[in-house]
Amino acid sequence: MLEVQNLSKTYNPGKKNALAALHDVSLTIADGEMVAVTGTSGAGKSTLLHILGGVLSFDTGSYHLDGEEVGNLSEKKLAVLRNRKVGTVFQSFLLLPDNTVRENVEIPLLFARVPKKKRRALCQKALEQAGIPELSDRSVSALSGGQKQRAAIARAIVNQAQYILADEPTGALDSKTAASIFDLFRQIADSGRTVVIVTHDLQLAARCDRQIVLKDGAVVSTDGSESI
Amino acid sequence: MAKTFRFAGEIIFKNKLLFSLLVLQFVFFLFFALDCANRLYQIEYPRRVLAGLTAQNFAYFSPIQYDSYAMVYGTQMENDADPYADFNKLKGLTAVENVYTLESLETKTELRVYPEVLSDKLDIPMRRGVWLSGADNASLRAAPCVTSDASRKLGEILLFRDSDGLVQAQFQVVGIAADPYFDFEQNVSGEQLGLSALAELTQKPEVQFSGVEILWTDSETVLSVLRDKPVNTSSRLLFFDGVSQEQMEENLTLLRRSGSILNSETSFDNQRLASLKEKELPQMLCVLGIAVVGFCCAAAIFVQNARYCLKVYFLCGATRRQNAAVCFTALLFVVLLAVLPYCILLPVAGTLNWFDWCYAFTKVGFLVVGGFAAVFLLLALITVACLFARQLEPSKRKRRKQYA
Repeated sequence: MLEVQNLSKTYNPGKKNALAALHDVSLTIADGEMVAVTGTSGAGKSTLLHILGGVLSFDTGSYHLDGEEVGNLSEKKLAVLRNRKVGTVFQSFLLLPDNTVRENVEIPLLFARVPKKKRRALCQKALEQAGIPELSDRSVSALSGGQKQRAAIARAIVNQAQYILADEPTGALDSKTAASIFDLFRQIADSGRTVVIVTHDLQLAARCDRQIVLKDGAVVSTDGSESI
Repeated sequence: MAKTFRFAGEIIFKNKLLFSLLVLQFVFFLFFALDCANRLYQIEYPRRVLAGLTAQNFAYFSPIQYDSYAMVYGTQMENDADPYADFNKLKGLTAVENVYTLESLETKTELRVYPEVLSDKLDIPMRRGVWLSGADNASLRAAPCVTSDASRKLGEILLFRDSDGLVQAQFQVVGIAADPYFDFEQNVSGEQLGLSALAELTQKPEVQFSGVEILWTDSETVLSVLRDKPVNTSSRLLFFDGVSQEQMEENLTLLRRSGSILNSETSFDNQRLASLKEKELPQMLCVLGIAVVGFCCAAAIFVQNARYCLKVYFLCGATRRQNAAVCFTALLFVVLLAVLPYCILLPVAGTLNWFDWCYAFTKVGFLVVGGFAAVFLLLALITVACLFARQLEPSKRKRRKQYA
């Protein structure tokens, strides 16, 4: 379970260009839920996602992941969290373009010190789940946008992460491909994982179990009752 | 460890643009460094050699055309077997920069050949010369030589040997040129060598030598002879081919231009230094400027690529320490790429006997490479600082302080 209480984050604190990205945010996301985080640009969606993924630190408040306070985790434990508990997917895919799909997918497994044989098997399984098993040896630069996003999703789920966080995963894709990627997230959520998707696309957001709406760094609604 | 190498390799080698740019940079740097080394060496070398050329460690050889000798003095060559034998050995001896041992019964001296003097510029037809036989000892077949070492005795047999012992020749001291106005006639029967011959040549152009005469003498003395001003300085070599007045003057002009004849204006050192300052230094700086621009481009691509890759690794579970290790390893690869060509080139240059390059490399090149390595290290530190500056969040203690 993801539990955030009174969380605040300010960029460049104490400086002239200080920016309060999140202010007093509280929310809870249950296991197996598929939640969409929506809001206008600059509402703090991505900041929230990065904090949930253990990429960014927060200033005040608390963030519990499976009952563990993330704010108190050491650098090493945060790395383990990013590696094993949370898988992150981005609009820009964040794949290594000169590597093959398999090489990209197995990066989290390398950090998890998974043996080579098992790595191969897990990679194949993740690629099958992502629907691109035949592309494992293809260079990422030769893939289409949808295929790249599937490869990124495969990398996110390869280490059996319980939480999949996606930041505008369909932002760079056409509507048809976006729908198919969304279906993939739905499948992942149906398999018992928690999926948090940051999106501008209200149609896709409406297909999630729940919507969290952010405005100016604060949570406006946690059940989608308040629209953007 | 293997993981770190793999990720570092992905940063450097997987990006084709970056890799090609780095390889090009380093090949460029390699030749640039060697060129710099060579130029510096060319300045450094004559200074070193000239400093070593004293009256004590320098010998002069004076092969003179037999016919002319016979014509002037009415003597005959005593040994007709192969007058060129030792002469050819001498050709082998006179490679630029070579170091030779000069041994006699009592002493052992190291000799070096001055680079400009025996250059191919003058294209001396060595085979046309005949060794002067007046001082020859038929049984020893020793070639005559004039030495500046006053401690030697006339008639003393000297053994010339290169460092490998392959080139050997025997010479007999027929004159001692410690005094630039040494009168050889008093010491060697019938021999007109050295400065007196030179003086004759300059004063009597009608004396025609059809073959080769090589006078090993003091350049400043030559100048002083030409100016009728006696000086006593260290020794240099000069060539004269078919020594007519015009040709000799031509040769002297050439030697002056090449810096082989020393005075304050035309010394090799000063000319080389002036040339370096006027022509080569701007060239080198231009090339260095281009190299630096190229390197900055490569560095920018490297930083961008590394930042991207490290971000991916960070998201996939790398700690900052692991990322730092990956970054440093990538930079290590860069330094290895930079040093590897030198390590390959050195044995190749040694095998192919690129003497100048080898020498420049061993003596000066390492300093240049060391300089580059220092620059790389500095850049590495700056790059790592840039890479991690953004990722570094304020520490918890700092944050607590701010919000307290």
